[in-house]
Amino acid sequence: MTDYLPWPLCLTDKYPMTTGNEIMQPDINDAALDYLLARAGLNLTAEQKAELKTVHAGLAAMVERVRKPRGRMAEPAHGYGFAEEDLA
Amino acid sequence: MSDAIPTIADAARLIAAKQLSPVELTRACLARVHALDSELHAFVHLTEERGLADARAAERAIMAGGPSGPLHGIPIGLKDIVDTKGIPTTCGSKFLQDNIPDTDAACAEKLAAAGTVLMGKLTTHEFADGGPSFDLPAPPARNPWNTEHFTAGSSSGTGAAVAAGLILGGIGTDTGGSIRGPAALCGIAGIKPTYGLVSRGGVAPAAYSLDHIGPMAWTAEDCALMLQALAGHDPRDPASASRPIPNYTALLGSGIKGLKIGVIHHFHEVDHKVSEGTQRGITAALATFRDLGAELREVQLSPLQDWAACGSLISITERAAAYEEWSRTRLGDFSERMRSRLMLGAFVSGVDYVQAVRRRRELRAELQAAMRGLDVVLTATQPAEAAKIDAVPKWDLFEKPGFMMPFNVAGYPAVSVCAGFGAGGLPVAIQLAGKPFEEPTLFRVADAFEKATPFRSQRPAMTSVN
Amino acid sequence: MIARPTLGRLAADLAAGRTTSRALVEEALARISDPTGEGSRVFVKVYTDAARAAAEAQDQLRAAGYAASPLAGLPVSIKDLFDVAGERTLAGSRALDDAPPAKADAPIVARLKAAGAVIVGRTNMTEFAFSGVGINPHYGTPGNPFDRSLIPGGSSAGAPVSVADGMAAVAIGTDTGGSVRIPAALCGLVGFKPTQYRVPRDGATPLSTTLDSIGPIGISVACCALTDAIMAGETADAAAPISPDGLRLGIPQTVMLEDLEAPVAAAFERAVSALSCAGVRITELPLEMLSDYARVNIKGGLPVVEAYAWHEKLIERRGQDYDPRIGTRIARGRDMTAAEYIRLLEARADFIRRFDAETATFDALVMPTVPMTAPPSAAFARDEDYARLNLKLLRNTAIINFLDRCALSLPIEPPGTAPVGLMVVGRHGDDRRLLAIGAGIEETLASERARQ
Repeated sequence: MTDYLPWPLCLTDKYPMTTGNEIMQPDINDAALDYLLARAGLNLTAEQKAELKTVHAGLAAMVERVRKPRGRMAEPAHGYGFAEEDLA
Repeated sequence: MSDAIPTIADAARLIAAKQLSPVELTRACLARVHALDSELHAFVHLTEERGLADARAAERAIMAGGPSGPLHGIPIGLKDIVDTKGIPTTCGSKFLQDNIPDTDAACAEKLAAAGTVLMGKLTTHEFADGGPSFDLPAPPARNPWNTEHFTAGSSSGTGAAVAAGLILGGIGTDTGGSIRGPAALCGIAGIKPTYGLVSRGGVAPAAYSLDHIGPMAWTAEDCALMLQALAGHDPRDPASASRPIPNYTALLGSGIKGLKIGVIHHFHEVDHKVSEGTQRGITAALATFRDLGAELREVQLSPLQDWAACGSLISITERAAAYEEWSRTRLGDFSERMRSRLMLGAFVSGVDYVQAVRRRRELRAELQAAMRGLDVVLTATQPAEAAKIDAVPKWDLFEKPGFMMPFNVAGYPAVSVCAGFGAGGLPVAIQLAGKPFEEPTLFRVADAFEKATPFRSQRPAMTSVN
Repeated sequence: MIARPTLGRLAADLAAGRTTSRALVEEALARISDPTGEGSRVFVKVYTDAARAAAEAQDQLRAAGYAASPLAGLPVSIKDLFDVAGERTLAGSRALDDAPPAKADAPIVARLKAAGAVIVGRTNMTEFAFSGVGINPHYGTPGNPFDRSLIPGGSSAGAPVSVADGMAAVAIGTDTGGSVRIPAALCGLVGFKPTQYRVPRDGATPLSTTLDSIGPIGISVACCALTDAIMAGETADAAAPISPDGLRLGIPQTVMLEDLEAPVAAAFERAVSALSCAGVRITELPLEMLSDYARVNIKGGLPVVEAYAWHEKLIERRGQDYDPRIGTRIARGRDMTAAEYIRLLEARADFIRRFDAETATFDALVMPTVPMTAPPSAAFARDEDYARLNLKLLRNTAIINFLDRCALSLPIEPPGTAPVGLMVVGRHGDDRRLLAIGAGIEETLASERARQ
């Protein structure tokens, strides 16, 4: 067990972070939501934006779940076909 | 009337023996369409003339030289995201109300070549995703076992039409359960084959790496007969597998003594506890399998939530990419459900997507390792009996993981078969999954189960009203 | 499977006055002394007078309301390596025949006596407990109750035969690499190897101080549970059976199922099927790490070097009186260096850690106790066959000693066929629960047999 903080937490005294190192916060503020929607080119009504905010937490949970401590070399599944070793 | 609805296998035998004419059979199906579809909304476009023409052509050919195969003269339907030459293909969407393709999808071509009778295009959720929506051009399909209830989607029309005997077999598509879900709630059989086995050519995409085309019919045997015609390499589909196609019915009737069935208990008992009726169906199914001489084993996989997260992130992203242009310019023209799904694309970054795809490889390897020494695995298909159509939750996606997505994530073939009737007399089902390209074994187990249980002799009550 | 009364049955008979301790012990002594029986090969010493006296005393105590435990008044045999006050402990050898007599009973002997058990005699064993075969050139080899030309298994060779032949109601053995479970399996009885620390080993001639365990061989799981509780100094009761429904059992797929003789494979599959039908959730566990066991246990592993440490001086003095197959094998212990020994102990800790991690979510593990049924004694004539067969007999059981766990062997062969054992392995220290699981499995398999 190491007792030093992993990056980026070890830089927190130089570059203070307001929270832990989750990728996505459960709550999203309006400015952030507007930015993401603009980037996606989506034009939503106020009602639709409000609805989207309610599901952000669920999506944030999914985004965390697919991250696992894994090395650089872990390959994605290549979308097409089964290689011979996949059928063994 | 209900005991007059044959299976494809039965009809094929009668047709081959010249005891049943494809024209008679088609007329009988049409009669049921006219009697029941105003309530079921299974068809979005009925091709009565075309159907009768196909039936007459089949009859002539069969009188002359016998049937070309078991599907010759069999009335079928196609989910309305499957291109049909000269026949409207709306994908359940405002965007394509006037769309008339000038080529057939690969699966449509293959079924036509096998001599089937095209009855029409079947109700679908918009672009095989968002539903049930009441703001679509066509109304959502209803469950023949209780028309106030949902069929599940997105191959909703196919599920309803097969269950009610409007067609003997149909095409569905499955991206996260859209064949197996309706099969389960409508009390029929439906298979999502191995990824790449059936060409996606000419079928509207939902999520490229998760999309599968497959048959839905009253029995597993019927699905096998249909898959025989559908399977095969197609250069039009970049993901099309290039493998020798086995005989899908070869192992039927050979029993399942000694076969090993891995039960993924934690999926339906812990990760997402199923309804009482569903659990009773599963428990009874395990007893049936033991009586048939199969060996049961327990399987441990990553929790269902992991599979759901992986599949959902991939699905959301690929779908958002496919429909990006319309999302940016005509978002309001989508149904509410589809639009909600598309909005989620804004939240998933490219890096998130790659992480999901890396997780996908790990999960597939896990399933492969777990199935070493097993023939098939078993879990629930749906968590409960069909909900009322106006009570289908919109964002269940984030709370309750589904049982079908793992096999889209892995690409392994999975079939749903009726396992009895639960609350309100609504069907419950079990899901069996096999190893890639080993559909013959999967059909063997599913068929043995159906033949050892009485559920195939019960059709929805509405089919017996004259 | 041996059809003899369980301890529970005998205790009930005594309590109800249907029989007496004296009668039971006389019957046992008669069977031991019957010249047409195995008595002379099963027992190296019989405590005829002491047993009679003890039986009398037990009857009197019972009449006065003083039955000390459910074992009170019942005939029990002990393996020849346990100290009995005033006697030489020979451990199946001749080389110890000039050793000073034991000063006191071994603690387990004292506990059995305090519980009212009547020790009828000392049972024959592989010399110094160092094999799974059961052949002893000094005192003869007890004949397997299924077929006397077959080996009984070892090293507690006389123990199962004493129970099967009605010479004792339960037998005490020791288990270092399988020496309770192997003979139990080969003779059709239940054998239990507890977690080592639970039963004190003072006053028992050691083979491997790291691996030795003391355990009972009897007719049923309940017999073993009761006897183990007494020897461990716990409340003398048998664990109530745990229902198999929903129990999670794992079957290791590496090493344990290799090269199974056909009747063993068939009996094992049938047992697994029956358990699955009763609702047990069975998982086939790859457990590839088990193939590390052989690699890690170079130069004979822990028993050879630890035995050598104990025997070094004795071999120098009396080596020529050893069973040659035992003496030469112990002598190899001099080849292991201290560094190798230390590394072996570290490797063991790591092996245990990895195994525990992969099996943590299971209630127990099941596998065949021994990959074969009892071979004929004649098959052991040549040294290389002896060595090879011995390793195969020990193959599955020895790994469990190395893992410092507890394990039961239950007979699962179809009636009238060569005995086959099902080994059920529990967690370190979780002996009571393992016995309860074993009792549930025993019940389930018995009902399945009854149905056929």
